[in-house]
Amino acid sequence: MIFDIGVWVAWLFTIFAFSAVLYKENILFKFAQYTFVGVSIGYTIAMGVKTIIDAAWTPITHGEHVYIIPIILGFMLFLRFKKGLEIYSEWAMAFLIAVGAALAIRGNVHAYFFEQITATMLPIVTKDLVTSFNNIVIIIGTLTSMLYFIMTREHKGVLKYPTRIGRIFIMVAFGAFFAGLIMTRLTLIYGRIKFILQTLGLV
Amino acid sequence: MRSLWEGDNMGEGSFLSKMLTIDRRILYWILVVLIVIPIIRPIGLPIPVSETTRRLYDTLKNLPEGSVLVLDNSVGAIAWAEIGSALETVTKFIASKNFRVIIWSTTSPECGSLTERYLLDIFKKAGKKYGEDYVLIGYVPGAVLALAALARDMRYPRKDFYGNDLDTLKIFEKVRTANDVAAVVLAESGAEGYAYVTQWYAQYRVTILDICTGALVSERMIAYNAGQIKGMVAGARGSAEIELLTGYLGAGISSADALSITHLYLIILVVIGNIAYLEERKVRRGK
Repeated sequence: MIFDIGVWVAWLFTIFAFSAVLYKENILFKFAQYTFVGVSIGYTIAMGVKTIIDAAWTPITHGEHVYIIPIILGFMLFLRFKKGLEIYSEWAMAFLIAVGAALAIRGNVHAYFFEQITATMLPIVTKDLVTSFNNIVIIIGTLTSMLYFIMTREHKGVLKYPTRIGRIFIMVAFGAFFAGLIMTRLTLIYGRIKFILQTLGLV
Repeated sequence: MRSLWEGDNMGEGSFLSKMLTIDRRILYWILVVLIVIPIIRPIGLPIPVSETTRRLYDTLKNLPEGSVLVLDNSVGAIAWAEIGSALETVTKFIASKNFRVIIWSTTSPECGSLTERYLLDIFKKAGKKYGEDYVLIGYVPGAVLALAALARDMRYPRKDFYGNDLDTLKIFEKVRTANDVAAVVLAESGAEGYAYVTQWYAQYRVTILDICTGALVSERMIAYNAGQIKGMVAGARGSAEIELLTGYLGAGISSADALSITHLYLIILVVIGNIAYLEERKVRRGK
């Protein structure tokens, strides 16, 4: 048994959170839910203020006045709430989008276009049968999945069967993604249940 | 003998019709019981080590002495239960070697406090000196933008988590850009892997080693197969595998039994649910 007020508060809130799933929605669950939302928002605001102080305000006080520009751009974002001045918030937004797009293009074209295409150019005949089979699956999967996204031509005739195969590959990918998600969720439940038992001294 | 659906249809009160309308709380309670039993009485189911985890381990093991590593702790409090133990295990392994480690996150504000609580002690116990062998920069806001900036100048946040000037820390002697980094060990629960591939691998060819949640595995496998991510600890299963490989046994191994059993339970539910759905559809079409 652990004697720490913080641990017991966490224990109680875990029980409150589980109560909605294992019993029914109740006031304790809602209390835990709203407390979580409140604490998260409070923490995010505090971190946001700290970020502005560390990244912009402190350098300005040390003579690096160029950081006034991002602060002005940041304030301009709030102008969308002032009638008649909304257009100025779009300037700041345009700056953000431009920088984001420039960075994305710089990295994406190479990493997620050229290199991914190169990664699917695999030898079909190798010394290892399993590797050959895997490579064939990757090549067929890539080609048929891409064909499935041809929207300008109806999936008939030559496209009928390849797009159907592509659809199967896409569904398998969704299945794999769903399975991964289940593992994540189960681990979270496992972690909480173990915490409940550990706090009670049962493990 | 009666079949599961009482002959050929989904009659009232049949097993499958009951399964489709079962109170979900019963299913959740069974899930809880299935998790609790192996926690109290571990079964010891076998854990085969996957290639992704082995490659992460081998890459770290073969790095030359004195290498500079970036340890990106972007796990966050919510995903800590799943991959926190894997990150602790990898940190123990890194601390046992002669590496210099720079710790940050550009997406998780909890990076500083979680690292301080769970990881820094590992370095201290291994006899490493703060500022010389390891440094905690903490949360550097800006996500992809910050990563691109850090790749060009790792000292741009100016201060570490404790307010020390980065220029004065010995660890940063001759270390400035991503070109000086041997590998990034990333622990993530979001889109950080994607950001590192585009900003650190594509631009500087830095080795990326990923510890990710189960939900991200299918997405990261694309980068892994393309050679952009060199090794990967995939979710809770990966946690158990890396513990086996490094010999630092912990929460990952103990969770393996419970996770295997509960996965089996969910597979059975999915199969029953689908059979019941197909039967119901067949009956409805027949009517």
